[in-house]
Amino acid sequence: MKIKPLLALTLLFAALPFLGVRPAAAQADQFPFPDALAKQLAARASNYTEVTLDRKMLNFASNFMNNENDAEGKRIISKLRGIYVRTYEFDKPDQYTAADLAQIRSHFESGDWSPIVKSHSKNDTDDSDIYMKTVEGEIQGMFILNAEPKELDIVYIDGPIRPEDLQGISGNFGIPSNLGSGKNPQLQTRKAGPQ
Amino acid sequence: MVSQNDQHSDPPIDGFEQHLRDQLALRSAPAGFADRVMSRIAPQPRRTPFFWRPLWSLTAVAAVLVLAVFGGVEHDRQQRIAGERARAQVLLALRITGTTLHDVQQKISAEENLPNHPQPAEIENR
Repeated sequence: MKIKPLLALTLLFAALPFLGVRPAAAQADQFPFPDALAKQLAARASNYTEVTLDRKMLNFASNFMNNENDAEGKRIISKLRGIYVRTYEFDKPDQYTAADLAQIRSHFESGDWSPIVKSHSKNDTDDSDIYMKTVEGEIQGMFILNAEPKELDIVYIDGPIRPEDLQGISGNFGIPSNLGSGKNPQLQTRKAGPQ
Repeated sequence: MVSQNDQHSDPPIDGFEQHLRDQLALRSAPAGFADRVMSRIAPQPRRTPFFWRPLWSLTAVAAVLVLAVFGGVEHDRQQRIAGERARAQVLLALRITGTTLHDVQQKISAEENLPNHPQPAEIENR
């Protein structure tokens, strides 16, 4: 066997990974949550959690969800374009304002979004909102905002998610088992009227 | 001392010049000269670059293969770590989604259990 072609081939093989086009380091965040507000809230919070999972990350994660317990979650995220979660815990109340909440909600108060639950207190410190995005009769997104005096939770799920999906992960992820099954009248009868 | 007239006159062809002409005259090489020169030049083997020599080449190939194997193993390890982290984030996101929905549900249930809880149409203006 001639050595030169072998060496040349080996060097070429070794160089291949470096010739490939690398993916972009970071993709644009699809979560319509104002960055400046997120930073302000994080600065005021005693504890906060930010989870940003776009479709690429969800696909990547699903490759590692091979446990039996992950099966339902894997099935659900396989259809999603993103999951974005922000939770802020504060040491004292009044760390966010009604204007902050209005700014967060603003994106979901137009277009294909419609409120499913809208429960607001007078001082805007105990609000709950659930919005659904419906496109041609299919749910294509869900936004949940839960504001308490010392806590603010925001969840945005981008992509098709059905009540059965929520029911499927019940018990595994803290979701009540009767959610979305039709046995839970609260989320359905408390539908707010159009804006 | 040389006079001015002497400087402008042609120089005489003396014995030195004649000797120089004799020495520089075209002359054939002695018979067999070229063969003798060529025979004294030993045939030099063509030198190949060190990295094309078999030992070096094999060493380089082996080194690249070892690096590729270890690189692959390390890459797999990093991918697995990143994957486990992504999986944990997905589970955390789903858990927070669940608890947030649960909190909303609990809150609304509690409101409904109040004696004068508002009707659905009134909720917005509460």
